[in-house]
Amino acid sequence: MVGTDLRQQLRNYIQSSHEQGILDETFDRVKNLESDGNPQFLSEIFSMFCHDAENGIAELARFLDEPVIDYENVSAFAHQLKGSSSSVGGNRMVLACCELRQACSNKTKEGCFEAFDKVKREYCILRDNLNFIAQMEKTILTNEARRRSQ
Amino acid sequence: MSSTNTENWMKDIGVLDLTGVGGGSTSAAKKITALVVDDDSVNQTIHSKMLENLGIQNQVVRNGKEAVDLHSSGNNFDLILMDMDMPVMNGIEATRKLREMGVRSIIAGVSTCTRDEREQKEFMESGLDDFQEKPLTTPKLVSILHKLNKKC
Repeated sequence: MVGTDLRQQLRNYIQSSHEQGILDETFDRVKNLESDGNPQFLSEIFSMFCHDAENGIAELARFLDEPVIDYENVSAFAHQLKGSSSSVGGNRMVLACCELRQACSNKTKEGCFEAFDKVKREYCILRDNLNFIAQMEKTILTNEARRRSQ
Repeated sequence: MSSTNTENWMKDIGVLDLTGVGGGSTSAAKKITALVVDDDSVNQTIHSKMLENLGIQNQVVRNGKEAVDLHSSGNNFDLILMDMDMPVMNGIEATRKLREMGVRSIIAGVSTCTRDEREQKEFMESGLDDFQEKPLTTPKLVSILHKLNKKC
């Protein structure tokens, strides 16, 4: 049955994301918060996260572009980014943010640039994962609603 | 969470009164209220949803100053989930201020990580009843709510 196939595909995709360390168990808990009353909940959370993360990354780019790096501010933004990544279960992105904070503690410019590149890469991977999951969920819920109305 | 599960949880922590109207055949649940204090919109939404799923009415504010202002204008809550790092007024300052104002709610500190023990100690000493590391989970939230029962 199509609905069952899609649900299984989604489960397999999420399982694979877990195995690659992209997502952790916090993601599963957030996903379980979704209820019949608000099927858009996951999409809303992911949009919110992406919006905040992109703003955070833009601020980090700005600070790291300065001739003299304000390590305290970079660390503060990395901490914020780590916090919101952790809330959606973005395990690898959390680790990348920790590395950036460590580079700030060490006050190494090159270290910060390297770590920031990693943060950007992990964000892209996480964003694509979350978008795919949200899109699959939406398709599944639309199909189920259509079947119920028939 | 189904309404039956919510009732069971509320019975467990003693906030479900089983001697309601009709001599116990209907039960009247005490409406618990909560305030989420967090500058991160994702955390705000997730924590609010968790509370909602447990049947708890809740409001959300973005920083400690908004929490203090809300109380100054006469609002009060059974439970406050207080983030530590926030702009304008952080969780340590806000908790201290709320206790000075005589606020007796359960205030649970919720923070990304225990960066250093000194800071967590300062946070606890500002007047917290509990501290939980993020990410907040429903079991962690229920353990906070058990303190609400003990305080009542």
